[in-house]
Order: sequence, then C-alpha cells, then structure tokens
Amino acid sequence: MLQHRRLVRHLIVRDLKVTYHGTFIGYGWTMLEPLLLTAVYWAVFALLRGNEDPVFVLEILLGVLVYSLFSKTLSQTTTGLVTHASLIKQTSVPREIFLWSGGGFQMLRFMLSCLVLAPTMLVLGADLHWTLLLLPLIALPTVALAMGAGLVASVLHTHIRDTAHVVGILTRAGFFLSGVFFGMRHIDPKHHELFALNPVAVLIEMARSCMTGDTTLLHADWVLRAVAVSVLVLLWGSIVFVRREAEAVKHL
Amino acid sequence: MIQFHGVTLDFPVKGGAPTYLKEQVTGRFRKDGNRRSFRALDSVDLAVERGQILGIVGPNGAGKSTILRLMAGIYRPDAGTIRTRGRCVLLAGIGTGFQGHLSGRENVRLNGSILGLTDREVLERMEDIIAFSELGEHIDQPIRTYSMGMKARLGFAVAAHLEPEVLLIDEVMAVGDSAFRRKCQARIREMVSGDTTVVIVSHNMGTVATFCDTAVCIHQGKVVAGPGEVQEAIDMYETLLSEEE
Repeated sequence: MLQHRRLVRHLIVRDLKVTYHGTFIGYGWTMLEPLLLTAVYWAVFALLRGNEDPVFVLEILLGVLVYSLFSKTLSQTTTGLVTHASLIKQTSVPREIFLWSGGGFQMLRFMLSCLVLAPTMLVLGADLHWTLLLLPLIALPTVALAMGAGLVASVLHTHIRDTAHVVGILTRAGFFLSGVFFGMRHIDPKHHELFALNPVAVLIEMARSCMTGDTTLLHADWVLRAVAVSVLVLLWGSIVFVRREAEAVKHL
Repeated sequence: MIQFHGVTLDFPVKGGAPTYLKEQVTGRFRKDGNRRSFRALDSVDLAVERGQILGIVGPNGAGKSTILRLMAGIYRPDAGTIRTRGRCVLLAGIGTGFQGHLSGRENVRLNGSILGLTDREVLERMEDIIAFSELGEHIDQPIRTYSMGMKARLGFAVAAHLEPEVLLIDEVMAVGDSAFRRKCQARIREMVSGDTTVVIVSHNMGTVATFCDTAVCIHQGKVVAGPGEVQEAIDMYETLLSEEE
C-alpha cells in the first residue's frame, strides 16, 4: 500500500474530478448536499412536527453522513474488482489499490461534508464543542468496517454478480436499523444493549457525541467493541481477499 | 529474465451462482472433485534471457495472451513456478484506464502512475510523450473528444516512455495511420535494441520474424514448437493453421 500511495492519490483525485466533472458547483457539492439535506430535515422535523430542538436536525444529518460513508464505501468496494476489470487484466498493480482508493475517496468526501457542520450549528443556535474536532476520526473505523466487509463481497461478486444487489438491499435495511433517524436517547433504555450490538449504530452515536460533547448515553465498552469489531472485520476481509483474489481475477 | 517451469493455469467455466454455491459447499469435502474448468496452459516451460526477444505465435485461443499475463503477474499459476526479474510492463489494449472526462495530460499522469512511473518521472517525460503522440494542443482537451486513433497514439506514447526491464507486447503494433505505425515500430525497435527483455505476441509473422531472436508456438495451452529458431515456430504455426482450414 505504501509503495503505491501515489497511485492511490491519483485514483482518488480521478474519482473526485470525474464525479464533479461538468458541474457549476464542483467540489462544493460535497458541502451543499449536506446543507440541503439539513434544510429538508429542518422543514420536516422542526416546521411540520414542531420539534424545537436544533440539535436533533443536526443529529439526523450526522447519522446520514456517517451512514452514507459506510454504505457508499461498502457498495463501491463490492463492485470494485468488476468495475476495474479491464485495468486489472492489463496491469500488475495490486488489485486492492483500486478498492482502497474508493474507500479513500469516500472518506475525503465525508471530511469535506463535515466542514459545513460548525457553521450550520452556529446558524441553528447550537453550542459548539471542542470535541467536534474529533469527528473526522469516526471515519476511520467506519471505513475499516465497510472495507472489511467490502473486500469479502468484492471477491464474492466476481463469482456471483447478484452480490452487489444483495449488499444494496442489506445496506438499505441497515439504514433503518442503525439509528440514522433516531438515536440512543429515543430508545427504551432496556434495549440499549441490543442496539449497541450494531457497530454502525454505535459509530453514529459516537459522531453525535463528538458534536454535542455529551457522552452520557455512550458506554466506553460499546465504543471499544465497535472499534474492535471494525478492525477485526477489516483484518478478516484482508485475509479472505489475499487468499481468494487470484481465483477471483480469473472470473473477471 | 523470465523462467516458466511446468506452468499450468485453469480457468473456471462459468456455471453461474448455483454451481458456485454448490462447489463452495461440496468442494470442501471433495477437493477438485468434478469441478468444471478449462485448462488454458498445460505445464509450459519457457526461458527468456536478459536482452533476448521472444516471439509467441499460435492460433486464436491458444493461450498466448495468458502467458503474457502470467509473466506480468496478473494471474498466478495453479501449478509450476514463474520467475521474473526487473520492472515488467505489459502493453495490451493500449490506453486502458483512460478517463474520458479528464484531459489528455491528466490521463498521462494517471496512466503513467498505473504503469509504475513516479510523478517526477511522468513530469520529466511529459513533453516527450506529448511530442511523440503528435496531439499538439489537443493534449489539454478531455479524452472523450479524441478519435480512436488519437487515443491509441497517446496510449502508445505513454507506453513508449516507460523504459521497463521486461517489456511484454500483445498485438499493439497496429496503431494509428501508416506513418504513425512506422514511428511505433521504430520506437519498439529502439526499446528492443537495448538490454530490455521483450516478449511479443503477434499474429503478424513479419513482425515476429523481424524482431525476435527466438520463438515458441503454442497450441491448446501447450508448447508445440520451440523455444528455438524463429522460423521453426512460424512453420509450425502455419501448419496448424492449414490443418484447421
């Protein structure tokens, strides 16, 4: 990976340029998109439902940002080998480079989106907390978890092209199970332990705690478990990938 | 230097998802039971010395391109060993990985990086590459506005400035108009004349006869002639073709 970091950077830049090519706003979309989403949540939850709490709107926004980082990285990694098939069959570049550059691209997009958070908080009258600076760190376990699962799925996808569809359905289901539109504080405390078994839900809660500086509903062992699961999944994914990629490439 | 020793490679025959799942379940109990596969290469022995130019000929589907991909490390052999020494570059399907929305210049940077050049090396060679490709000011236009010939020219220009130790060429001699083709051939000749090890896969016997020091003929995944005299391999290839007819 270190040997090919330059190539990873080139591929991330390529993804950025190609994604925002021909748009007026360009990279600004990474920031405008979360702003527009916030406006929608504000309209629905503050105006229509009369929820006066400005933090709630931002909590939803953070849920959406962290969850889309996870799901986009997972789906991009899943199809990564097949998408880059022609390149993979012509160059001796290690194939995981193409998958990792996708993860890097999504992480960069997440970071750019996070830039709008502080100004939005000020506009909505929420208190700024220094822990907000820790927010980008949440991207690390999130991407690790998505990459780990994605590395396994990418190999499976070369054998069975239904894999990407299944992953798509699972991530959509996960959207509702990971507390994007609700949080720990909206759940009956007796179900907290169960909810915290979902590492993505815990990662979203961690992001929210970074924003509010309030960690009362976040147990240290949940955080440790979520991070440990992410690292282990990444390790498992990498092992499966290294063992199976030679065979997978023959299916491209 | 490249050495193949008893190299065998099987390709899976696509049976779809149910077959794969069944294999995953039953395969654990009966390894290689009745797995359906196609033997692309069957215990191939080859050796190319440093600075030598090897031609690989054979009918369609014989396994020629597969040999190149094994040399480049794209496939791993199922049996046997492969040893290669030196930076290896495969020229096949010129311009793969070109990104339509990016400019020619940006694509040179990306392509060079994929093919193993450092940023500095790309920068140093950029002007030469642009000059070689004869694209002039088009180089700053997005590649989607290029004709096929222009894309191929740019692809070859990048490839021609790689200076690899091992060069693997898969049927890329026919690029652009006849003037540019001559230029490509001259450039290949230049690259080949140094101490670069070269392997050429071609259906053009003229190319093989002019460039190569030694040649092999491959048929149905097996070496049927050579490595040895170029003419011997070409004769074998022609015999095979006439038999097929």
